[in-house]
Amino acid sequence: MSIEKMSLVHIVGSMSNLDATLMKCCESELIHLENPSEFSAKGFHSLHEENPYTEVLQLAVDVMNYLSISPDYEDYSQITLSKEEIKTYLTNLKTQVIQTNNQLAQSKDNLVKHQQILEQLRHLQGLNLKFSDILASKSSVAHFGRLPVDSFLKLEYFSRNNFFFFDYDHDEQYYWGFYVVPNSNAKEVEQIFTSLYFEQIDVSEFADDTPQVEVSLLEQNISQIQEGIVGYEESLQTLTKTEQRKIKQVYCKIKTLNDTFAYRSYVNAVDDRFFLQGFVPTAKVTEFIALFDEIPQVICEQELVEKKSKCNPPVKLKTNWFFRPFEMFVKMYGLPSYHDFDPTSFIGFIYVVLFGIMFGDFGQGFLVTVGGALVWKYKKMPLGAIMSRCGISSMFFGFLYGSCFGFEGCFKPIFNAIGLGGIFPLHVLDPNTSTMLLIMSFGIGIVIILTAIGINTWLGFKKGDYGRAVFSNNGIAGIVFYGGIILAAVLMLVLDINLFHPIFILVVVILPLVLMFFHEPLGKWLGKKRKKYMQKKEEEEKFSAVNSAFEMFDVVLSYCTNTLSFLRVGGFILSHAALMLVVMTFAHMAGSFGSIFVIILGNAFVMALEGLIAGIQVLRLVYYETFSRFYESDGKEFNPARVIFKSEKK
Amino acid sequence: MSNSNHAIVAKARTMYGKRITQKQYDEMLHCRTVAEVATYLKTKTHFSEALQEVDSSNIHRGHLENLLRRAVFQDYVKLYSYISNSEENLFHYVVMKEEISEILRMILLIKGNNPQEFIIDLPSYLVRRSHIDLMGMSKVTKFEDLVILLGGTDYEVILRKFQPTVEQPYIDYVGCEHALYEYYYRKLFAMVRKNTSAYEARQLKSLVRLQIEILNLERIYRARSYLDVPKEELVRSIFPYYYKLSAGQLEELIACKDQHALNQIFSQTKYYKTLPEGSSNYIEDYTKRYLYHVCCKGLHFFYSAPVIFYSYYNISQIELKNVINIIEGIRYQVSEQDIKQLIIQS
Repeated sequence: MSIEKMSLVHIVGSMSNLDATLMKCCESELIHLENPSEFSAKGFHSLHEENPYTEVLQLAVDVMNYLSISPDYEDYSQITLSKEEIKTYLTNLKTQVIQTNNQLAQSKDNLVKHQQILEQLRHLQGLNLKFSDILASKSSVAHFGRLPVDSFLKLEYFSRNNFFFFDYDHDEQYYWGFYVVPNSNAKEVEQIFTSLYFEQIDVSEFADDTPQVEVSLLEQNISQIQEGIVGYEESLQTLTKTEQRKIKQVYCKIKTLNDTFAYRSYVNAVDDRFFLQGFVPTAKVTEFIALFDEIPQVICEQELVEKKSKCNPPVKLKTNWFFRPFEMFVKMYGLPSYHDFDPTSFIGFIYVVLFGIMFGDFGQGFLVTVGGALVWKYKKMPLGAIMSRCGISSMFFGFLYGSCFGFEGCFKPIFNAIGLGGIFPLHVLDPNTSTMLLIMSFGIGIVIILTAIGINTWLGFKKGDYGRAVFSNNGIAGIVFYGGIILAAVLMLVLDINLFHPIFILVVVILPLVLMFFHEPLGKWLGKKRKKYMQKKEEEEKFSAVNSAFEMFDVVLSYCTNTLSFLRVGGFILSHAALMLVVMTFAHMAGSFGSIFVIILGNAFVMALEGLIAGIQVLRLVYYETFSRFYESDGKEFNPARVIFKSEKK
Repeated sequence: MSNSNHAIVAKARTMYGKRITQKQYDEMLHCRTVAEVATYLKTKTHFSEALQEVDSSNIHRGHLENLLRRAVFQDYVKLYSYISNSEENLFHYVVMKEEISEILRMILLIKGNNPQEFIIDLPSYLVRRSHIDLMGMSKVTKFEDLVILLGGTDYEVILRKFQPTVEQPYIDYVGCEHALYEYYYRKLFAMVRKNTSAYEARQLKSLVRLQIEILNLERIYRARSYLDVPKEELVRSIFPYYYKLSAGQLEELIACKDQHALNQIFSQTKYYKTLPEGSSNYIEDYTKRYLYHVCCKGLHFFYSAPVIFYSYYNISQIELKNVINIIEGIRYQVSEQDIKQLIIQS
């Protein structure tokens, strides 16, 4: 539950060893390189060179795309080819692939053309004449094709012109047929048909016989073309099979050289010396420095990062294995700054517990756990890992509720055996239990809100921001106000003790409100001893009574709304039980055989619906009711220098 | 509201939901040939059903446009298939508008001595629905014959006044157009008053008035910006219906000598307040957008079938115009940027 400590590392060496140094940095994946502008010193200049490997890399990516090879790491230590040799190899391969692809594309075009003609000729099968007989006439011209239905109706208008249109087939949009026109009127009639959007079918290639015969010939041609296509596809597959490994190796080598070279933009240089800076996790610094022992004329030194130093180290969250998947939620909100607090375990704990309470069912929880674990194992999705943890929590609370796949009152013998049979399993739909659950939801909300305020107070003191720690609504004033009112209300309702005396009201209600109202000027007053740059920053923010008045209204309102927000925790327990009750009622109505399907489908439906809603609602509670009270997401992510082999494919 | 009206509302909204999006327009603008646009319309838009049988790789621009027009008209037929056509309704006025448009096209062709071309672009879907003999009209060669062919209809009465005479041998196209549309709007308002509830009538009349006012504004702007139309002739082409402009404002706009003066008067109108910054040079573009916006609002917020239908009618007509602009722009190699300016979206 912390942020990995970082050390600033300086690497100095001669330019001849720069590539070897960068290669070590990338291989180790331990250093987050810093931009040279942040550390520029007199006489140094940054390197802006054209990457000589980009063109070859693009070639490799193109070849992989053509052959549908996914970029991935492949050990390339056996590849001894130089850059030029690799380029020649890839160019030859690309030419070969393009040639085959072109032939394939041509065949496919040809296939489409033949299929279109076939489709059109099929409409002419009503014509029991040879094309050649119609086309052979010397005194007339015949054109085959199709005429839009709209235009067919208009032919009547041109009935005075010297032509015949014979239609053999039609559908909703076209009439198929041919028109015959004497040579003397050919031009004029062709213009008419063009203006009527007559689509001519070129039958000259198939003009020897009747449409029926030509159709069968075309079908033969099509099968030949299809065979050709299969042949080209097979030759591409063979090429992929034989060259895949070598292509991947070549790609990995070029990718490594290219990406390593790209990190030269982080280098500061003077004469024949280079200078690199970056952050390395302190725990790994010794290991990192040792990497450069074998490179001559390269010196690597460590500098500890102190709180007062001006540098801004990157953030690498350090969370235990159980809560590590919840880093996803923290990153979605934004990383904390380096000197801040890592809330992953805190929100992970809240998330798991609240999800379990809201989605308490032993059987469904078990399926969520297994499903999540499978998603994590096969898809490596953090959400899968989160699901598996939430599932365990669901099983635990489902055990307490005695609920398993909607069957209520389970596990009673176990509770009886351990002597808790009087309390558990809880009958959540029992009016007394329901009330207790809703009160418990309030209690959970109050504890979480007070914890969030407590964390903010601690962070305020840690950063020396006393306005935030003491006077803000999320500081000590807030704890006194909110905690005091809650305590007084509980004592009044439970023990009939009335704390609302004038002194209590003055100290617990009015004083904190006044402090909160003036928290900005009071914070400035207390912060006199703070650093100058912080004072300057604060001087820019002027106190505004109107703003503070509106803020106060919002603050008081938000204490109520945020607490009420947690009512949904209890609400979901009841809705889950009610939904499963509906499923069981339907199952009862469906009879002994049908009930199995109803129970399976009902459980699947409730799991999908409620699981999703509970997951979203808990995240909402975490973000809005908790994070907003203490969290400042202004950190930058630890992004070590490395070569990523999988991201090239577009 | 009856079940059939509910059906129209639901169907129109569903069809509206399938309208072409800004992204789709952008993708169409990237097409280089009419065939590519046709393929895009066939595979990626709600026109796919209408273009299903078409060989998009080999389609003629005119044929494609005809198919699109027919598809849009078929949508109106689908909407009004839910109610009986015995009582006069807005669908009759869609047909009527198309009839007027065809009559005016014929008049123009007669004026240009090309009446034989009428048949080429005559929409066959209208031939079946129209009350006038459109196939017969395609054989007409003179204005007098056209009037005779339209005998027994109100169009005959209107057009007879414009028959060329010895003193006035030329066909007064502007006069014909104004008279025919004036008749159309008069009949439309009368039908709305008669066949719709007071609430529906109020909404519909607003929409029609807006449409007319936009037409008036466009005519004034064209007359003053691109053409040198005399004031009397301009007055003759203006319809006396008002929406946001008063009669006085319209007169002032008509009286303007040039575009600068026009802009000054326009800046005092209610339209100017809703005009996006820097768009005063493209009044036509703005007015169409405004109509589109109002109709979208109508579709979102009203529950009356006539209002929803009329809003959908306007939106689909604007969409059709957009698509035709893209097709023609690409066919005649207009730059992508120039075509884009013609696309009307909210």
